[in-house]
Amino acid sequence: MKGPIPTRYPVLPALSERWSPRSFLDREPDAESLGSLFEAARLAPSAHNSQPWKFLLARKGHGPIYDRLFASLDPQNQEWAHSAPVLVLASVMRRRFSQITGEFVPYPHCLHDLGLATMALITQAQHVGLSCHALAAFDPVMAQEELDIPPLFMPSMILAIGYRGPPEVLPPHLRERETARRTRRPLEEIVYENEWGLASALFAGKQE
Amino acid sequence: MTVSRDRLARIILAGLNDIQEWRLGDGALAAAKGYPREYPAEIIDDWGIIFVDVTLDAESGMLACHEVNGPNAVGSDALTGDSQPRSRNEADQTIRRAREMGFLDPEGVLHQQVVTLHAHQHWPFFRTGGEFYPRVASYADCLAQSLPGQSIGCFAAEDALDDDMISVIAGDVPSIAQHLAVDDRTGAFSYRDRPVVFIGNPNLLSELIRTGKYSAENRETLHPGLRVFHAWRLCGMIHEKADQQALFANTGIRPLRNFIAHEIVDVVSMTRQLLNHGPVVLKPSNTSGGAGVQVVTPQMTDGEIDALIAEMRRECAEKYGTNSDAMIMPITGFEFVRSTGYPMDDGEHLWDLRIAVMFEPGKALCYPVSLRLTPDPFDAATFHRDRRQWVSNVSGRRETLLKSGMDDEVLCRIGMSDALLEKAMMACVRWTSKAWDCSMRDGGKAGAVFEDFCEEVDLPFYRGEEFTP
Repeated sequence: MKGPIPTRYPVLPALSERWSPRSFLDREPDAESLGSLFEAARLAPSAHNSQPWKFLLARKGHGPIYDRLFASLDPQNQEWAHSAPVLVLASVMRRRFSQITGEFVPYPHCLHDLGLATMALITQAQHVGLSCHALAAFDPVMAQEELDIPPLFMPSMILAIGYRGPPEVLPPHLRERETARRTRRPLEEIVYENEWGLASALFAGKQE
Repeated sequence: MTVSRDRLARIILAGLNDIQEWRLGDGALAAAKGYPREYPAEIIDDWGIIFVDVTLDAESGMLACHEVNGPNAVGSDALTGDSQPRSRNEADQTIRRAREMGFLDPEGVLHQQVVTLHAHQHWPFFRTGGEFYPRVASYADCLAQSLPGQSIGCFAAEDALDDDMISVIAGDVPSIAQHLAVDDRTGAFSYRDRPVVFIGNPNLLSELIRTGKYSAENRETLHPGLRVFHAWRLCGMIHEKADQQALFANTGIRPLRNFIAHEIVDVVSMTRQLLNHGPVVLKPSNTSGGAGVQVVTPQMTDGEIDALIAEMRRECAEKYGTNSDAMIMPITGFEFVRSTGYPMDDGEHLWDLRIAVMFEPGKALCYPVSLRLTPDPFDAATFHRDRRQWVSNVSGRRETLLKSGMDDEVLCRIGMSDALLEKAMMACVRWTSKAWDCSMRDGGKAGAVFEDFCEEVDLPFYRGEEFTP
């Protein structure tokens, strides 16, 4: 099982300990914990306070929606996502309603704002002992049609949610990924200072 | 109740001076004119109906709006003679809520006895029974069609409930509110200890606030418990007449100048300022049917304005009972709009045209309801002494003061062309979308959704946005 990813600065355990599992226990999340995920998402910031996100919740054994959402996943994701007791379709409002014009206007940051809400959801999941795996490999057109999602909203990702399960239950090629060390680029590669490409001196000499 | 039984009941009610707006209905004419007209309204994600009272400013020729009313308003039968589309709309929301609340399964089977509430105005006897009672009956029919096998019973507010799975309650606001309770913890409504899945009249909320059963703050922030109200997102907006005007900006209807006075002592000074633009109409909050509305002219002294405010409070106390001061604040003032005249034998009458906007997720259906004429002709020299010259929605109005909004001759007399009426309806839909969006983002307070200047003027906030405010 993976441990916390090493960091050079202390961060919230919910961030350092989080990773995206493929194996989930056959155990339904309790309603209180599951509800708190969406509460966290609800609090995310968004441009113009547009709150463009909508989540479609599908719990295994709670009606046909789970199977319909599962069917929209690409086969390589179906291979493991069937063990997740909860699937959530995260969708976003493609355009923003302007109070000034009284009409919809372009909203190029809509996916960014959905991402903020989704990360809040994922972090809260980690905090309450649940795990999330965000999936971009699904058929959004199929989801839009099959799930009667209005054209204003764009199905953007599916989140597999549940209690993390043992890697041993996965096929060998997935088990390997499940146990592999989580890697991230060092800070020097993502934070520049003074000029583009120049790693910030902020991190010089800072050890893990 | 069948249509013929509706008609019989209406004829009986007509004998008791009930307003016969339903007689204006003409299904064939409505169809020929394409009413109700459908408009996209993607931002709207629930059900409801509002009524927008518009007029044509005689001075500028521009469209103006006196106020927007919620589902407490009537007249939805003036198009075809019945309120069936509205009943269907109400029933659709009811079914959705019952499922969301866990009382109804996907197969249409209820697991819990539930209640729906349909309240009319405050008086035990009122003059819109010909619309109200058939609509409630039609609503019960719609539920029966959608939920076959589920027992449905209709009751008066005074009745004890029976064993029905759905109890449809009809009565006046105070009588229903008397048996209505709110769970302090969840905000859920219950009626005679059964959960409520639909409430058709937002004035019940005002009554609960007046009687101390509900916090006004919960209405302003749109507590989730309010989702059982028809047009629930607009519960706060419906009574915020000044905010309503702000939302008319860029819709095609000119917003009226206005002020909001949160203290009685401020009303005179604020009125005096607005009088620079002409006569001012003073309105109490949370009331309906023109109760307490006063007009002030520039010639009036401060003492005369004080006297009008006292009269407003007296009228509201008479209509709504004790503690009515708690519900009529804040008092709002609006510039007086003199409409174009409707010529009658005794002179030119002012008017307003009620437009219905009925909505469901993704779209709005719009149609003219009726043209309402003031009882007396307008006289600029004396109108401030006679409300009958400038208030058209006077309870107890004669039926001859109601005209069909589909009558070309009537519309021609007031200068309302087809193009202008279409513009008015589009403006009403646009207002509804703006109000809905505003409410979604900030609980119903117009103007409060903006965090900074950039958002307030709605400049192209991001480079990718290309539109002209």
